[in-house]
Amino acid sequence: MADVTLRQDAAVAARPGRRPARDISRLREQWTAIALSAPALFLMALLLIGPVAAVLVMSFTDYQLGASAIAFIGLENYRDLFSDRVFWTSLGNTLRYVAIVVPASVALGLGVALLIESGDSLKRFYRAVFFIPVMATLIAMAISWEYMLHPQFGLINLLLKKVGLAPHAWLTDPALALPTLAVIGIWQLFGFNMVLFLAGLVSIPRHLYDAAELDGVRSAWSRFWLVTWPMLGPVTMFVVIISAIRSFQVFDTVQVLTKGGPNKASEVLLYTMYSEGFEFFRSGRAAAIAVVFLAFVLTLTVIKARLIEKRVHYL
Amino acid sequence: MSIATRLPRPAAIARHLVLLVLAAVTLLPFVWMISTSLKPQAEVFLSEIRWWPEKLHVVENYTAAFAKAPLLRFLLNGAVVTAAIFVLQVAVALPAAYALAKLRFRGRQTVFALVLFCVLIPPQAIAVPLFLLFHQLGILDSYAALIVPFTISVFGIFLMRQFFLGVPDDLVDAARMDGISEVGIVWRVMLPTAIPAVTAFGIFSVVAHWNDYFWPLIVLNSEPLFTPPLGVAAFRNAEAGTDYGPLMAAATVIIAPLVVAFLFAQRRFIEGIAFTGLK
Amino acid sequence: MAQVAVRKIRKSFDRTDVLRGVDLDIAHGEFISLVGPSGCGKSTLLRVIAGLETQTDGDVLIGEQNVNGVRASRRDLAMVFQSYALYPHLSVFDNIAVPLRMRRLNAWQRLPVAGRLVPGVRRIDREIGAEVERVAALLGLADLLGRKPGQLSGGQRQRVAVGRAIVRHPKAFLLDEPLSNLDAKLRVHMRAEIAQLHRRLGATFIYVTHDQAEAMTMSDRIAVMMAGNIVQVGTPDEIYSHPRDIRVAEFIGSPKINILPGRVEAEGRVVVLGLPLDQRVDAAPGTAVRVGIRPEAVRPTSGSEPAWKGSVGYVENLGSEVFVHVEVGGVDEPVLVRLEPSEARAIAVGSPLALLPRPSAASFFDDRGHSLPVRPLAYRQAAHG
Repeated sequence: MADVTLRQDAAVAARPGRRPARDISRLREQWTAIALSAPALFLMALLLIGPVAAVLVMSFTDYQLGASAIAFIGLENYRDLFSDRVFWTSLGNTLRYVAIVVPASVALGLGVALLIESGDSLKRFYRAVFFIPVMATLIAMAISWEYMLHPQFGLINLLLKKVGLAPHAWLTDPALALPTLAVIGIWQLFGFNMVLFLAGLVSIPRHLYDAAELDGVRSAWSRFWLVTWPMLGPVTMFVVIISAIRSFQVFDTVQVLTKGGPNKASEVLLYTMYSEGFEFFRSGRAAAIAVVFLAFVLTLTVIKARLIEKRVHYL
Repeated sequence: MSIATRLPRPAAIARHLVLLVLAAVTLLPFVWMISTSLKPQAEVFLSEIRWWPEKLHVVENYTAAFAKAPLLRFLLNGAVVTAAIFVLQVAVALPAAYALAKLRFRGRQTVFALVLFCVLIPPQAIAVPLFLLFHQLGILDSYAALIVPFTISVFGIFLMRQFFLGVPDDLVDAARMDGISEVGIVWRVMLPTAIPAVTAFGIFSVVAHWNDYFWPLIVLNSEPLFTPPLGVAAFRNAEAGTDYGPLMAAATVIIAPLVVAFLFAQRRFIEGIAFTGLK
Repeated sequence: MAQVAVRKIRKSFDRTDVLRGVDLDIAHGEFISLVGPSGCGKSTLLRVIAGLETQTDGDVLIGEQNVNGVRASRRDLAMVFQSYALYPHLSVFDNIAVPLRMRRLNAWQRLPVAGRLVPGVRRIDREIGAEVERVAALLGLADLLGRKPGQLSGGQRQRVAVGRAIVRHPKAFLLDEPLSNLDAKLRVHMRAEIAQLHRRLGATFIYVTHDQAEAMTMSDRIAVMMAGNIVQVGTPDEIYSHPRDIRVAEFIGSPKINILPGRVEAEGRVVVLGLPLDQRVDAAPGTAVRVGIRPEAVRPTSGSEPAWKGSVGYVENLGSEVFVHVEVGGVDEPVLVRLEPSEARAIAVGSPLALLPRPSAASFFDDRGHSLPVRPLAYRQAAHG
């Protein structure tokens, strides 16, 4: 054995410039891989990594679109931002929006999924109905909502009047604008959560329910707490995080329905960034807001990634 | 049979009752939108609820919608942009995913780490520098501006890589023995095996970009380039609360392609979006 | 008195009949196995007894009580599942405690913190704890009580599943292929443990398996199921030596029984491949029969008496025993002979070998596969008289 190796080595040494076959195929694989991933790497650098770096750098400058000069101003943008009432309103509104949409859409998604799975009939129908808002172009639906919420001729107020309740100016009342947008957000999101919960429910082993039955579990309530809820635990955490990320990105409905108003009552982070960056073209400042936004979303995404790793922990 | 025992009759009825009420509420914006799109102006501004118009104004409203705004053009733009994005995403992501899953090369860990990092970046956060880049390149307000930022889908790379990891190495080796080149392996061997994953990703991608509002709003100015969401929003701004019949007709037209496609291929859509959502 | 009985049980899923009228009586304290190939309906029968499936027709009786329409949780049975079905989020202790908690505490009392404030709950909890520990000690799980199922080996999980069943004193234990997820060595070990457990508890065990060896080694009685029917019920010995159906003969026993073509001649004498056997059957002369002879009931012979002449096709040496495949004219399948290694030393592949059946060792089946009654030679006159 050693003899053979030695002779091979000698042969390689005897022909300088020739590599052993193994190395050549390694090298070929190396170059193939690089060639195949080159377009992706180039675009990643140009369109994702570069811009993330740029947004960080820009947030320390006073750059404005069209300005001839650009200067590093350190933390000035952030200092400005943190002393700006509008920014805090915007951040506070975003968090309030998240705090309404996440629990409601998760609870509704779970409840609907449980109801659908608890029977046999019309399962596909219900699933499709609740999923339609996820698919439908939100902007178009926002316009439909706007008409439904019309103070005089809107369906909602007409229905309220019918049952003897007072109508409201849903989108122009500062106290109601954000919660109203949140309701649209819930309406749009809960079907997505429902689908994730349905997938989670289906993957609970049937035998656990059989075992629970033989262990003397008689009520749906006990069955839920002994089997369903613990088995859905990881999915639920996951759905919460995804919903948080999604609702943190609220923009479309705000831009179309309220423009952040009335009186900044529905101003949210992405809308603030949009108006700073693309209406007033204060790019540096918009970049600073983007960094704040990025920090929140990254935190949530990192938690999500941790959860995916942990998802195996029952098995 | 689903969760353990069969429901007793009253519970089964209660289940339908609750679900039907929720379904009605969920569908309300659609029902009202379509109902309004059938109404003449006189019946739009009423102080009573009228689900079905006394006088049908279907033709009038829908012709008005198509006349006042180039709806077909918006739909066409949407189709061109989403199709181009999807094709380019696959063209870029599939070879990279194959390399990450099936080839051994120095730097593979680093490349994959970069992919994972990029998955974390929300597109809105980098809108400002991208806008400036496109401004520099002079391609704002063009199809290119709509398509280029999304040609790279790190999420697609991630998804395809996961899928390819499950494809046996023997298949790749057999293809090599048959004399197929590495590029050939990507397109003639890996792509066909990955059709389910590519379909799911395609649905996810098309839905996301058909409905996207943020980025087109930033980069577009000229109406002929508007994507469906931008188009319907522009229509609404122009009409500003006066003519709801044609506006609702336009909104109906804009959501119709995806919703109809969804109703025909429910399972695929739900799988596509749920499966891509969970990863 | 039957502890568990089923009467004319039918079960159809959509249009397929999984059970086609099954009758079975299981005595108190008995260990009975339901054995058969996959798809024969044995697991469905067990689930019908458990109450997890509702029969299409027929009755289930537990302790002489008709339990049709009584849900599983009220039948007072315990079950060990093939997948173990342990609650993955609960510790071993909690898994074993679940059946007791569910039965002794109500929903309020089970609440995590508030429940403990209800008077008497602490005492019940202590009792439950003591019983769980007793069972854990019995099964050698005492050191694992704090672990989650995910941290246990297959064998340990299996024990927890058994523990969860025996922590109560149910009317019967149902075991659905409990060993099939274990590796071969552990499976043999657990067989012995379960058999001992049965002896210690003296309780009724209904054990479903597709593994005839498990059924043979553990059971008091075996019910062999084929295509939705119980074909034969009997002690392992009866089933092995006197199969009532050719499918039973072929299913039970490893290696498989030899099936040879035979013909009935005058006075019920059976001739197989030219060799008259020493047994007689109740059948008209000229009837074709199939004759089952176990591999250990075939002997090589060197004498000159009439015998089956063949040649050795293949020799399987397992060390403790040797299986010789002998190709004999007139049958497609080789005749299998089981020998001691010492007997097989001289046998080489390709060499000729003459075979003889042991006396009174064959079973006979008619063309429908039913066994034919056998009369030993000595009694032929009396039987005819």
